[in-house]
Amino acid sequence: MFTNLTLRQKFIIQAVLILLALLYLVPLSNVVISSFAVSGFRNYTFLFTSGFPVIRMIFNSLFVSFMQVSLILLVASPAAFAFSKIRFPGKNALFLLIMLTMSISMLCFITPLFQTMKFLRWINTYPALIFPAATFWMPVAILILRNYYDSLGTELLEASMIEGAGFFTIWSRIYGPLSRPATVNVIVFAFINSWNDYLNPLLFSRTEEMRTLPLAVVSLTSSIHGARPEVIYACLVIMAIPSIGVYMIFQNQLGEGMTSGAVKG
Amino acid sequence: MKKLFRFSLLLAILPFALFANGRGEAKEPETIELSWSTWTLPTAEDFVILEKGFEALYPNVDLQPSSSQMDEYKAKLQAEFAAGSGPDLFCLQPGTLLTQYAPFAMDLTVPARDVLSKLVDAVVEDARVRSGGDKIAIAPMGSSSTMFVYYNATYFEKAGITKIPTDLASMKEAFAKLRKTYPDKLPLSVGLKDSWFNGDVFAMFANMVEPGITERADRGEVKWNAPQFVEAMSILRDLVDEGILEKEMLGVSVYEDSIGMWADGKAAMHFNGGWAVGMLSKPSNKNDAGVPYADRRGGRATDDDVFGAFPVPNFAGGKPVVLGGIDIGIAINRDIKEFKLPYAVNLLDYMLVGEGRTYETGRPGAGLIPTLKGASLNKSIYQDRASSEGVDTIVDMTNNNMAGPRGVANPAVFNQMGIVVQNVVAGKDVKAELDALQAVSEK
Amino acid sequence: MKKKSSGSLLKMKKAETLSGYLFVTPIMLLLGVFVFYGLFYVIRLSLFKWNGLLPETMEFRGLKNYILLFQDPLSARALINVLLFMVFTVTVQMFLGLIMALLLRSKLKGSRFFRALFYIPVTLSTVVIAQTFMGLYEPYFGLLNTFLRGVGLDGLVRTWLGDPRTALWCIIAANIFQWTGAQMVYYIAGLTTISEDVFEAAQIDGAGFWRSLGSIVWPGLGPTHTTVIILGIVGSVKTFDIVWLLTEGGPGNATQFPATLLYQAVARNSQAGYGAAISVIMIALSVMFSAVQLTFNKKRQEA
Repeated sequence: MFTNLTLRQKFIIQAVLILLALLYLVPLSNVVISSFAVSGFRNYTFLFTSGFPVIRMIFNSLFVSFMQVSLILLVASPAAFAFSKIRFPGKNALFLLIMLTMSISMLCFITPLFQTMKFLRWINTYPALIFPAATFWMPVAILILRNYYDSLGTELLEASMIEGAGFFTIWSRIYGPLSRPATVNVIVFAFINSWNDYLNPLLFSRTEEMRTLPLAVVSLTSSIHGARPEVIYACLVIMAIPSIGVYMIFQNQLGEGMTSGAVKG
Repeated sequence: MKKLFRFSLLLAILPFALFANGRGEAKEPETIELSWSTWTLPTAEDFVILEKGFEALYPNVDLQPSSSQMDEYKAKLQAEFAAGSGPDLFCLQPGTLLTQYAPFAMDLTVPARDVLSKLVDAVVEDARVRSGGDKIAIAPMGSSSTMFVYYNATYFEKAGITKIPTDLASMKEAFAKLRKTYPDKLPLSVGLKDSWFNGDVFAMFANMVEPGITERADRGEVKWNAPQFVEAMSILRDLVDEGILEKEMLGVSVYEDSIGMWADGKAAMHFNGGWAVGMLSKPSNKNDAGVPYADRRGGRATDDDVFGAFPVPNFAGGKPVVLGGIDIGIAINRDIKEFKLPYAVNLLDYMLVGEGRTYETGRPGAGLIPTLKGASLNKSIYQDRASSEGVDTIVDMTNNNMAGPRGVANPAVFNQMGIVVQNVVAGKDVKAELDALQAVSEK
Repeated sequence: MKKKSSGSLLKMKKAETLSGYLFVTPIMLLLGVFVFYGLFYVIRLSLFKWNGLLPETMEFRGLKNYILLFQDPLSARALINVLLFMVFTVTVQMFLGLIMALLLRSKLKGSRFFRALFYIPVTLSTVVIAQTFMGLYEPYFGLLNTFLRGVGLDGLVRTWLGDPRTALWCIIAANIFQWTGAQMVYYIAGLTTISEDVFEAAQIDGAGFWRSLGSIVWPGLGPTHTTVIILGIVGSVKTFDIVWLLTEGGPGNATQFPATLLYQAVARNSQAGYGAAISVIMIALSVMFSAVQLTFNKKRQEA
């Protein structure tokens, strides 16, 4: 089906696709068009020149996303490797426990999370913007990476062990690098997840200087005169570019992982 | 590939080492961090100026301000104090916020004596009463009241409306005239989508029927499903039936939809609190930086229009009522570190008496009525008769004609008041809605 | 010689166990601090009445929060809403996602573009999606009503987010827009597992499009359906951002979800204990659905 097509079939398929595409294009292009309404490109320059700390927020978003991705890889990759290749008592039970936490919303833990942040003296600091959200995404990363490690087989492991290599060396020198396709998936989806996150910065950032871009929209409307809608739309466009960009760049390498990685938020 | 992997590993570890260094903190640091949270007043943009000004006076202080939308601010405060980690200074409003957070605020009577002595005595006394009577939890920054009709005087004139509406009949007449002259413009926009705004709407209608009724119901002296409230909500329903309030307003938020429609000339009238008084300035009226006072983000479509304001008519008959008083005050965290306290008091002085006040409540376009003795709203930018009279009305109503405070002590009740308004406008049964409100107050 | 060898084997075994635990220590520590501690905390808190502020005002009330929760008509409202949301988002996304995947299989001109376009919303923040849809739904100048008026369908003009009868459906539509691209990708992957011969056979047999869809493609995608459905259900349970950003549960509580009730209780109404009870129920549901998902995944891997 849909491989040897008559001209008529081709026409129908194209027509349906274009119709669907319109449903997607209209709302999205409305945002872009509206971002240039009234004052054109001045809406964008206004964002940067009005004293609103948007540059700091862009930096925060980038830094926090970078750190979250690093932390996720650093913690999830060895754990996934252990769950796939190392034998130790209680392994399956621990893995199950981690997987069961995968779909719990961070919202359920507002009060205890605040207690913890207070105890650590982390409120309104970068660690508070990085650790909770990253931790809540780690089970997903472990699942993706473990599936990939599983597919790699144990021959290399056995060979290296005979040579006398330790597990850390085997992971960091052999399996880690070999897991590149899955790692790229984790990087891309962890980045998108972190870049778009609204809840974590909403809870733990206190000052304008510690806010990330999703909250910039909130800040922009927090004036009694209100930011004009065009300016908010301009901010949305700026926010959308990196996540779409990352997806576009890595599009061809995602394949497999997109199915195991795209967990609905 | 292996190299890349090891390199990324190194990169990932590096920042954690940096965190580790940043953590160890001396007891009395050279830079004193002073955190201050508030809602929309001052705005994020105001803070850029205020922070610079304050830090110029006290170079060893790092002021960390945060400004959020009211609903978001409440959520933040709740979460932070629940964890026992509130900001050093935080703004409160009499009603829900003050009742809830007064226990976390320091009594300012002694530490802020000098500042308070420079403020209007009656306002300071009001702050004490609202704080529970045994202490002063907030240093009042400005007063305001709800609710006013902001109107486009140019549209009124062209539509032949010569007298501002004072009751349902004259309001209907104004609507008819506006609809005839401007068939594709809205006569009135009201942001009934916002929970915080609808609580005020509920209180406004209730106090039209009997001034002070919400305050009494809040104390448990009257039930929330008493006949006065039924009457109030029936009046609200009548306005919907008469076409004064459109059901569509349930999809309109105050900022930026409702105020934007009015300021852009798409609506002739708009309900808002007295704090939006700066919007009465002509859009073409600009400051030194070339930014209009009424809209600091670029011109409006109504550059030559004249704007005015009048209190929302009492639809139950009689004189209009407004609710309010102190709109915002600054509290100091009772757990503030000893060495920070003098600077926190300096900040109060800066914001209520000094340069910060000159900017925040003294600049042209500012919306709050200052609490400093001898200070008043800066009227220099309201040259038209309509806007000048509008400002006078707002100041007069706020200072002299208050029916009671805005809001109530129980946050769940205030939230439900807003839901009652939405449901009544949507056409649900008034009695059942008020029963639900009473139930919430007993929970 | 023999003895030494078995000794070193034992040593190796010990080293392996130790490495295993070392490798999973960081994740267990992080989950311990942010998840497991929180879990015990909310379970305990759900037995108290507390305004969430002063520790000394905590008051033990046993299971009363749960009783209140089950008696509150709002809970029923939230449950109905989340069920409607679940059923409609999952089925529409499945259907649309499969159609997209099938159409894109044709590899006609522009299929890369279409694929990317349908996937873009998945990469966007819910904040962006919400603002985008508010621009559509705005009653007076929004794109949707302007369009309806433009084509003369004034009768269909609505206060989309402000009308209790339409608000939930508007949220559902926004969610479908955001996530259908993800389901499409699942189906694209699922379709590769169905061999080309099967498709060929379907066409040679002269089976019509709908018939082959119903008799060959649909049943052949069993595991993909399972994944899509379960992910959809799990996602529905914790739905918060899109609802909060579009309606905050309004108008008049018409679009309350469990997560918005929780947020409203804790963050707005100062009912920390009551909110904790909602948390506990939500956690139980999430864990339950995750368990179901894991069982299915295991079965699929064994098959």
